[in-house]
Amino acid sequence: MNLIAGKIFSFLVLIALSVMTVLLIQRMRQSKEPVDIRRLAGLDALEEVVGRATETGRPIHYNPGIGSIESASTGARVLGGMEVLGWLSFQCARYDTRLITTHSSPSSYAIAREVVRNGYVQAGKPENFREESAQFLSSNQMAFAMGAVQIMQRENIASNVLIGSYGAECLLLAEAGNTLGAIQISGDTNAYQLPFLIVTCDYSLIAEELFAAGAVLSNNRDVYGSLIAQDYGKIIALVLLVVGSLMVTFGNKAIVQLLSW
Amino acid sequence: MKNLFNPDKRVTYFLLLLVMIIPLINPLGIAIKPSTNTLLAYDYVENLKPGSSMILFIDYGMGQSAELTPQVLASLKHYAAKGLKLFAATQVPEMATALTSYLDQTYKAANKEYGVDYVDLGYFAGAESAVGAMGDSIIDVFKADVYGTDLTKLPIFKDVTKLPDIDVMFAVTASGTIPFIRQANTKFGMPIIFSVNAVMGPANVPYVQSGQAVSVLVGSTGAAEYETLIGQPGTASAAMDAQSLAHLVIILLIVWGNIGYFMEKHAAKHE
Amino acid sequence: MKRTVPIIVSFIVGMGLMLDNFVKFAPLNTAAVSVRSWLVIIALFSIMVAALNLLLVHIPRIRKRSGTWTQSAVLITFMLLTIFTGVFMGTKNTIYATFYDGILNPGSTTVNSLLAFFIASAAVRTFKARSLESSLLLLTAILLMLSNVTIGSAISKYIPILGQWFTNVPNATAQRGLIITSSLAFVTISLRNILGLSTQWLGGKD
Repeated sequence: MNLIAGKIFSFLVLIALSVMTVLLIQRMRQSKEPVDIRRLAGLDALEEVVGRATETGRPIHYNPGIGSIESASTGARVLGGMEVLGWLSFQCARYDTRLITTHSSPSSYAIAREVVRNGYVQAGKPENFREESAQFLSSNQMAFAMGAVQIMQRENIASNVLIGSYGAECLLLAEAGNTLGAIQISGDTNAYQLPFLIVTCDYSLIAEELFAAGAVLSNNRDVYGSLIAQDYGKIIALVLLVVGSLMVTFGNKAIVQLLSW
Repeated sequence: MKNLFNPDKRVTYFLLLLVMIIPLINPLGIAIKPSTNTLLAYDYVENLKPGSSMILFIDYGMGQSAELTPQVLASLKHYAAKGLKLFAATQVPEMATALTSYLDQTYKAANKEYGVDYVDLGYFAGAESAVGAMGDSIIDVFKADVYGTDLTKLPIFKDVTKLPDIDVMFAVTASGTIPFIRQANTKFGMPIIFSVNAVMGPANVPYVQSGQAVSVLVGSTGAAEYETLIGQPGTASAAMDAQSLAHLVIILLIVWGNIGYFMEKHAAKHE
Repeated sequence: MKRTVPIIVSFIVGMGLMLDNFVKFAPLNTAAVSVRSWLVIIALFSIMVAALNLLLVHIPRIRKRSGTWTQSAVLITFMLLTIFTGVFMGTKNTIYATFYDGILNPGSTTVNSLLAFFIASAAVRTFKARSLESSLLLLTAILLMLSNVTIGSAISKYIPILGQWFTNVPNATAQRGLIITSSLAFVTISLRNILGLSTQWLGGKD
C-alpha cells in the first residue's frame, strides 16, 4: 500500500483539514462563547419569506435545482440546500404555511421528502405533512423547469427559495417567480448560473454563503466549527498563493513542486 | 413616462424576435474574426501529426444542441481533414443517435474508413467514474462499439487500449469541465480542448491560463469562428448576425431604461 | 439504531472512496470501483421512489377531478406508456423513439431557447445605474456583450481587446477565488456528512 505520486501533498492537506475541522467542532461544542458571523441579507430575508407567505395565505416554493446528491460536483450544494429546507419546513409547519418543494433529481427528492416530513414532526404537526410538499417532476431539465413554473403559477406562490445546484433552468424558475411578484432568495456556488440568479432574485447567497446558511439557521455549534475550519483553510491557501507567486516570480519553483508532490 | 421607459416584457420579446428573424432571412455579412481561444484550439490541432489520435466526449443534451452541435461538426471536419484517428463517445443517452449522425456528416462524408480512422463507441453510463475507468482500459468500459463489434477486432484499437494512449481529448460539455480535467489532465497530463456553452466560458478561463486545458471554445461564437478558420461556414456563422443584433437591441433597451431612471430621479428631486 | 447504522455505513463508504483517490491498495481500489458502480443501482431505486410519488400526487387529482386533472391524466398516461414501451418493446422501437425524438427533445430545445428572451427581460429590468458599483457593472456588461459577438469588432477593434482583458484578468481572478473557496466549503461539508456530524440527509436535526 502506498500513496499515489502527485497526490501526496493533497492527501496531507486533506488530513490536516479534517483534523482541524474535528478539533474546531469539538472546541465549539465545549465552549459557550458567542459566535460572530457576518450577517447575510439573504438569510435575514428567509424570515420575511415565511412571514409574507403566512400573511398572504399563499405557499412558499422551494427547489434545490437539478443537481443530484450522488454527484461529486453537485452533492454538497444540494445538501447545503437541504439544511435551509430543514429550517424552512419547520417554520412552515409552525405557522401552518403551505410549503411546496419540486425536484428533478430522484435522490434529492427522496431526501427532501424526509427533511420536510421531519420538519412537521419536530413542529408537532406530523398530520399536516402532505405528499405535495415534496414533488418529483422530471429528470429532464427543461421538462422539470416547465413543470415547476406551472406549479408556481397555479399556486400563485408568495415566495420562491432557490438554494441548491442549478443549471440553465434557474433563469426560467426565477423569471417566473418575478412575474408572480414573489420574493425570491437564491443560492448556488456554480459560477455559470450565479449571474442569472443575482440578476433575477431579490437576495442571493453567493458561493460558500450557501454553506454558511446551514450554520446560521440551525444555530448548530458543530456547523460553526466547520465554518471556522473553512476560514483557516482559506488563510492557508492565501498564504500559499502569495508566497508561491512571489517565489515563482523570482524563479524559485519550490512551492510548485510541493503542490505537485 | 414610466411605461415608456419601462415597457412591458412582451415589447422586449417582440423586438428580440424581430431582430433575430430578419438577419436569418437577409444576412448582414458582419465579418467574423477568430478570437484567441479559437486560434489556440485550431493551431493546436494544426500542429498535430496526421495519424494522431483524438477522443471526443459529448456531454450535452438536446436542449443545448443548437449551441454546441455546430462546434462539434466544425471540429470533426477539421480533424477528418487533418487525418486524426477519432474515438467518439457520449455520456448522455439521448445523444447516442445524434453522435452517429455527426460522424456520418463529417468522417464518413470525408471517405474515412470506419474501424480504421474512426470509431463510434456510443453511450456509456457512469459519467466521471467511467472516464476514470477508461484511464485503465477503454475496452473494458465499452467492450463493443455502437454496432456491436468487439473493440479488440477493430484496427483503430491496435495501439490504443487506455485513455493515456490517446494524444488529445475534445470534450463538448454543458455540465462542467472539472470531471474531465480531474480524470484526464490531472491524472495523465492529457491535453484537453473544451467546447462549452457561452455562460460557461468565463468560468473556465483559469484552466486555460494554468495549462490544464489547451483552449475553451465558447458557444456559437466560437463555433462560427472555427467555421471561418476551416473555410466552411455553417449554421453558427449564419446565426452570428442575428446574435449580434440581439445583443445590440438588449444594450439599447438597457440604455433606454437607464435614461428613464435618471429622468424619474431628476423629476423626483425637483418635486 | 435507525440512525446509527446509516451513519456508520456512510462513514465507511465515504472514507473508503476518499482514500481510493490517494492510496494505491488493490483491495481498496477494486472495492471502490464496485461501490461506484453500485451508485447506478441506488439511483435506479430512487427513480422508482420518485415515480411512485408522481403516481401518489397525480392519481388522487384525477380521481377527484380536481384542479388541472386533465394535465395529470396526460402525464400519467405518457409516463406509463413510455415505461411500458421501453421495458417490453425496447428503446429502439418506433413508439418510444417518437416520444423521445418527436416530443421530449424538440420540447427541451424549445424551452431552452426561451432563456434568450428571459435573460433579456431580466437584464433590462436589473441593469440600472443606481450606484457607482452598479454603474461599473453596467458598463462592463455592455462592453462584454459587444466583445462576445461579431458586431463588437465591427464597431471598434478595441472592443474585443478590452473584452478579452476583462475576461482574462479581473474575471479569472474572481473565478479562481470562487473555485478555491467553494472547494474548501465542499470538503468541509462533505467531511461533516461523512463523519456523521451533519445528519440532515437522514431527516433529522443535526
